[in-house]
This record gives sequence, C-alpha cells and structure tokens, in this order.
Amino acid sequence: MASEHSGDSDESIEIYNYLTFIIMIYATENDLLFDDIALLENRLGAGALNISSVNTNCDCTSYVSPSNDEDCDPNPITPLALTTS
Amino acid sequence: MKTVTPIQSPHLLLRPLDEEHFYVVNCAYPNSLRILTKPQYNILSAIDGQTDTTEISNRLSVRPDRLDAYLKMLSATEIVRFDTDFSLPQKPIVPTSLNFWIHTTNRCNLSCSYCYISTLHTPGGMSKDTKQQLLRKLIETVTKRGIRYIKFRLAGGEPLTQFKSWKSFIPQAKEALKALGCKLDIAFITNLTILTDEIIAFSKEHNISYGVSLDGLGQTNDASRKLRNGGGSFEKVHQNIRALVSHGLPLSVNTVVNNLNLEGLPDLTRYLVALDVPFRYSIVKGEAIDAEKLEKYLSESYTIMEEAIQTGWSFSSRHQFCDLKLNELGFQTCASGFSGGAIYIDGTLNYCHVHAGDTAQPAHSIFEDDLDLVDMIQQGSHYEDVKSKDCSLCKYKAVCTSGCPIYRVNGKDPQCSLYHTFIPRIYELQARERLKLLRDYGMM
Repeated sequence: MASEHSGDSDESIEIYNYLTFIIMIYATENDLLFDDIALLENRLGAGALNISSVNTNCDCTSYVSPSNDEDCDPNPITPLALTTS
Repeated sequence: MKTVTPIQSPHLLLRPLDEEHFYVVNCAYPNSLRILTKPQYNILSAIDGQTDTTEISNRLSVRPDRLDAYLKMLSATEIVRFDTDFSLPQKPIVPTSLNFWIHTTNRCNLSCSYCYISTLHTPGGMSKDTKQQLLRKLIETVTKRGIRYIKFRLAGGEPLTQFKSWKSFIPQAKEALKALGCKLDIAFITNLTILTDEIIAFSKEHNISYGVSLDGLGQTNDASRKLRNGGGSFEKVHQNIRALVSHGLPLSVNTVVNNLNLEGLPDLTRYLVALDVPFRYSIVKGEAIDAEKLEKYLSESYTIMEEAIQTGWSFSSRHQFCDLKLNELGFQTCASGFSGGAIYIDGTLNYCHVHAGDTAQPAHSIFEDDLDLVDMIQQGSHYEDVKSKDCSLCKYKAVCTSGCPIYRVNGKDPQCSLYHTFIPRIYELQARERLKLLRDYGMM
C-alpha cells in the first residue's frame, strides 16, 4: 500500500499504516465474535440448526429420548420432508 | 482477566472450506458444527494444550476480553475445554421410548439377491392373537415403565401384503396407548410395489410414514430387486414414490449399495435430489464389495450433492450415510439391546431383525407372562462393549460406535476406512450448506 502513497510525507504514511493496523485489529476482533449459530438461530428459531438423523425408517435407528413436548416425535422422518413432499 | 490454558477436544475436526472460512466440529458432542472466520481459525489452531490465554492473546494481538468471549463460545459444545474432562455420549439408565421392528410376514413379492431373511417365502403372517398379545405387552410395559413414545416399523417380507390385517390393529393400538399418555408412530418398511388408494387414505389418516427400498434407476435396481416372476420392480416403485410424494406422505428411500448397483449411484443421486426426498445409502453387509469402485462412485455422488447444495437443496435434512450419526451421536448405532428389538411373526423377541427366524439366537417371547418388553430387551443379547481397541482411540467413535453390532469384524465396522474418508466429507457438506445459508441471509 505504501507505494500508492509515494508522494506523501513519511508522517502521513505512518498515520495511514497505523490506521490500517487499527482497522485490521478491529475487523479481526469483530471476526472473533462471529457466531454462526446465534445469527441463524435468531433468524430461524432456537434449535433450528440441530440436525436429527435423516432416514429414521431404515433398519438401524438409535435411541433418542423424547423431549418434554407431548406431541414431539423423537424419531421424525424429517420436518422438511413433510412440507416439500 | 483470569489466565487459563485451553485444550482442544481430542475429537475435533477442523478443516478449510475456502481461504476465508473453515468448519470445526467436536465429533463427540451433539450438533457442535460451527463455521469459523480466519481469525477464529488461527486462534483455534494455536491452541496446543500448553499455551495459556495471555500468551495466545499477546502472540496473535487479540484483546484478552475478545479471546475470552470466543473461547467461551467454543466451550459451549466442548470444542475446547479448560480441563481434560471432555464428555462422550453415554448410555441412558432407562429408556423412555421404545422402537420395535415388526416382522409382519414371510411373504414377499420380490426376490432380492441380498435378502437376509432366512424364512422368506415360507407361509404365514402375524396372527390376530399374536397382535393382541403384543398390545397387552405394550400396555403392561407403558404402564409399568412410563414409556411415552413407541415406534413400530412394520417390515417383512413385504408388509403391505398384510395391510388388511394391520388396518384394524393400528387404530386400536394407537388409541389404547394414547389413553396411557404414550404416542405410537407407524412406518412401513416396504418395497412399495403394492400401493392402493385405500392404503394411501389410511396412511394419511394415521400419519404413517414409509421407508422405501430402491437400489438404482431402471435396470440397476432391477438387477438385485426382481419380482418373483423375474420382472423388474423399478417402474412400479417410481410410480408409487411419486404417488406418496403427491399425497404429502413422509417417505425416505433406503439404498443398499452392492457390486450390482454401485456404478449407478451417481444417477440415483441425481434422481433422489430431484425428487427432494430423504435418502440413505448403506453398504451391503455380510458380502464383499469392490472398495475402489465404491469410493469412486460415492465421491461422485457427494460431488453431485455439493452442487445441489448451491441450488438450495437441503443436504442435512435429506441424506444419511450408513448408520453414521454425525450430529445426534450416541452409545450405539441402533436401539437394539437397550430400547428396541425385533418381533417375529410368532411373537419371538430378538435382539435384531437380522436374527428373525433364527432359532439359534437367544430370544424371549411376548407370550412370557413374567417379563415386560423392557425386561426382555435387557435380558437379551448385548454388544455395546464388543468393540476393538482402535475404536476406543478413534475421534469418530461416537459417530460410528463401531458400526452395526451384528456385523462387526474384530470389533470394527468392515467399512471403517471408508468412514474415515467420508465422515469429514459429510461434515464439510453440512458446513457448506450452513455457509450458503449465512450468505443468503447476508450474515457474512
């Protein structure tokens, strides 16, 4: 980047480099707080990213404990299959 | 800020998706997949179990409070911990749901080359008396154990040849169990060559789902799944799958990959992706398969799925590979010996349906008065600890649990090396689907 500012004074180059460094640190620190699960669950609802085994009618279905929801199927085919079939 | 030393999970998978994005998953903690940015990846890579947070913070020029927040986020699913007490899925003490494979009949209108049923094509279906005894045992068990959910998978033989006899039993059993606070769900495990308007209407009324066997397109399917008269079954199955889809009935397709159909796997994948139905590819058990070709055609199939993800196809809700449980995890790949078993047409309760009709296997009978169904399961066979030493050190041990207990070879799944290739690939595709979702919502 310094070559793009070859006409500038040493002091302005130093300030430019310092600001670039600060922006990079800021971006990095924002990146550090990136939370894909929280972002998507805020949009789609809690637990929306939890993936249950797709094909539960196959010969081998593992044990899944029922949740507190009386109507919950702990071995669902897949919710999306119901809406797109 | 307190200085601590973070430790990576020994079951960690950390891989790149592109130059800027990565995925990480703790293969021993349910639903722990995350997408990471490059700075997040750099920090996680720097964690070596020796370096403390102050040094990481200094070395990577990261504010300590930000580092602390990031590590706290990762620790929620034990991607990192600050001690070595990483958890593993445990066998629950008692089951609160049960899962039964019901061998409804030995009759079948197909003669599949790999069928494991030793008594196939012998006469007889489950009698009315046996069904009523089964219901009595279910009521006894639910009452005694507080069971809240039961799944029946009606199989055979071809269970839809027995539709009329189950048509009256299913509503009766559902009502009786509902009165005890227990939900009963039913699925037909079927070749789907028999499907009538009556079956469809009944299935809609009682929320019945379908597991449909299909081994390929056209002649590829018909090479191993022939009608008893020698004709092919594909056209009929294709037609009936479309009927189930058009009526909104939940179905999933099961494909047994073997030497006869593995070259047709990419075409089948395109077909199933286009149909947008859930499907599972399993590898034939108990017979040899060409490992090189298997890897080649599976790889091609996953490339097709990767392309479909970019068009919005939901890989994570549509595909399962063998018995691998990549997100739920568990102590065993199936419910056998803990909360499930197979009930043969005469009321014999076996560890697994593979043992159906095999009188050499230890078994109970639902006609025994002194035991309920959970007692019978618990007093039956157990293979939970029959696993190789290698498996105990493997990072994927909670994903594959050493495979099908019946078909382990020296305590291992015969497809162990294939799993080591495709488990990361499946996680990668789940991550690519997540990445697309984040981009579609403008979140990155």
